[in-house]
Amino acid sequence: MTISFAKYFDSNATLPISDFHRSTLLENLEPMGNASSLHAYGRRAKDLIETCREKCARYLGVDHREIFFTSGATEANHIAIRGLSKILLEAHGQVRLFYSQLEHPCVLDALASVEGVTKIELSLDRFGQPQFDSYRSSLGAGDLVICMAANNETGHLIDFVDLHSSKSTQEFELHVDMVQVPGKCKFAMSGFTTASLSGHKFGALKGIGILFKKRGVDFPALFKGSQEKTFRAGTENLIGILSLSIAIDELLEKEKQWQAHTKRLRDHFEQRIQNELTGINIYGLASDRLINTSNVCFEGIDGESLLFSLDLLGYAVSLGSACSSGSVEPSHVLLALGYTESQARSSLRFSFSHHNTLEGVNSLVDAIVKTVRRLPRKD
Amino acid sequence: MSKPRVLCAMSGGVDSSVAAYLLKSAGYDVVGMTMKTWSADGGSANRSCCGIDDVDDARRIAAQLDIPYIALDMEDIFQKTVIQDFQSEYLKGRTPNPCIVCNYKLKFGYLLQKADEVEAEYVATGHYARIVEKDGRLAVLSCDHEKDQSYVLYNLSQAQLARIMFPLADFDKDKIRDMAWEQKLTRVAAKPDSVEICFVKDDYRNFLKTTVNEKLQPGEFIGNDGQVLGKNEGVAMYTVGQRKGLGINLNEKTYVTEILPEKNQVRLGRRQDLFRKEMRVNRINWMAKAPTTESFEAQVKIRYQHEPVKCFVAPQADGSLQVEFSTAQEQVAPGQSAVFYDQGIVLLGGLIDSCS
Repeated sequence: MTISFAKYFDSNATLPISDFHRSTLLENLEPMGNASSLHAYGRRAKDLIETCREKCARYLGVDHREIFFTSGATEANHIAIRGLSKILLEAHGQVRLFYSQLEHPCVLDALASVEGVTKIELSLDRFGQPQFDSYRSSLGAGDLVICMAANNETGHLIDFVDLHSSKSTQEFELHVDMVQVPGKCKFAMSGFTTASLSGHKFGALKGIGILFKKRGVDFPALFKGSQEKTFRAGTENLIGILSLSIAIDELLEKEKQWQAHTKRLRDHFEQRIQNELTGINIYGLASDRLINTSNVCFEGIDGESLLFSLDLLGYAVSLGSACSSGSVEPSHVLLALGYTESQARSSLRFSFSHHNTLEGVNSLVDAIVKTVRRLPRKD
Repeated sequence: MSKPRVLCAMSGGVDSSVAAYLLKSAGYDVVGMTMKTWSADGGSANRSCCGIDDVDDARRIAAQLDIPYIALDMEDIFQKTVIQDFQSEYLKGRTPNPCIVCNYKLKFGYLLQKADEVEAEYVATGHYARIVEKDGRLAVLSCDHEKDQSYVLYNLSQAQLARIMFPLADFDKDKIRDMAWEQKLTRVAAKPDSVEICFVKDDYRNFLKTTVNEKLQPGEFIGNDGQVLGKNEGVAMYTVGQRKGLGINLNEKTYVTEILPEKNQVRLGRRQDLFRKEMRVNRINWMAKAPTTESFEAQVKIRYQHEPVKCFVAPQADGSLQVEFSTAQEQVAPGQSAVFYDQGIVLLGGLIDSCS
């Protein structure tokens, strides 16, 4: 790679496109017409889009008519949440929206923009699972459950078993943010009304995403237009769509070995960290987690200082939530999981990928140990 | 062998941006940092500083200079130290200089602390000042132009001075802007300087009215003989030497000559009543001059915009200084800082406590 990602441990934020990806993109990016045009040039562009759409559908195990291309998961989340809320309100007059603080900020933002519905925040149990128990039997038409598949900060997987079984008998809607899933774990999409995915999280270009919308569910787009069956206005992002297709091809070929490699690195990292430092707490060791994520609380250490010291040494890691305005708020997810503000501010997320090596992970751990021993304790 | 690491404070203004550039081009391992002190709305539209736009600008400049960058959220502590001190001083009838408090308690303190964390040997700012050594002591030496900022730096300790760099020391302000243009730091090259107080958009009185209104107690204007002349809006609204905005018409040019906070009174008088021959200064920081009990002569500035004047300093047993001006000075305001120089070098400085 032209720029090395060997010291990059922030995969859940984004992945770089591979050299193969870049050259394949360039090879396949021919001058194109507008897919909406009626002539041959248009048909060629349309063909590229539809081929990619079919590929995405096959990878996810759904119908190609259920795949819509957007600018990313943020947009997909907004389309789904606002759209579903609207039609449910029209159909039932009353709507209950269920969610938890596990959700990504863009989902919480989308929720905040919806009016006229009853929003119910579910608490989290000690395994970080949203608590549906008191509502389970009453879930039905007019209810929308928003629940992510895997948490981006801690890596823990949400247990959908009970929800799935309820869903088959009760008619509530279910929107699932699946952004962290592709390439990291498998997820059956049965029972989902809608779902969102983000290309750059699994090795495609940034600026492209997928909205899954079950057949038979119809709601208005955010803004009207003719593209994507009138569902998502705007001339299609051809290079983004092409990129999704290339990324999926790469996953189909290499996913299994990448996952094995990544899990090995993550587990090795956690073992060394626990052996070489005291006051370490890793979230969810006993739970089902993404194979690549490790959220570590370094008790008594200012997480921001640790992050920046690692940054100066060339390592990329992450705090719960970043903000470019300069004030870093503690992770709302960790706080909801029961961390104190101090613990949340002492926590860093390390997310690994096939771009990392054992050597790189070892040098990361060396750097962490050295820095943690050097930094002053918080008072 | 590369030069040591320097943590450079970057406010998003042209001075600190060029300071960072100068350090980088001199071969230092520069790390840029913004201490975000204030995020009022419309922060960059007027004179305030270190709001969100300024952080964006500083970050952009750091990217252009290819140096690592961090933004530190100091809003809380800025509120608790600088702003609260500002408010309480005015409420006590004194005239604070928040920049001095900020430099002393916040900027350099945290800058050096952060420098330790990021393993930087030195810190740097875009202040117009120089550091010299005289008789084994480090001190700030003023620059030869009107942008000299030595006045606000008198509180630096010897230990602090040993680790501070002022890259702009040898340059004129105009040259700094030219350099910004030359280096294509366009975001900051045309930015006006942030003047006055960074967290006050227009007038400090409006700021106090908005923030501590409930503590403003109306009182009396009195004359030289103690006669009541009218109502005042609360001692915090006035500063010694003030002529405008008194809301009172006495048929001649009237000035605030004294503030009596215990009685909530503000004394008014004519210009000649403003002159004082002596003042008491406390909270001293000895800089070039080693602590002494012997009297000495010096040049003193009693305001940021003040031409230094000759004075005689008599250290007192309680650690304060009794200062006699060679010529009576007007507008000697308790709460302001008195900084003593000798040939441009800061000897020591402190707060004006009282005057007569």
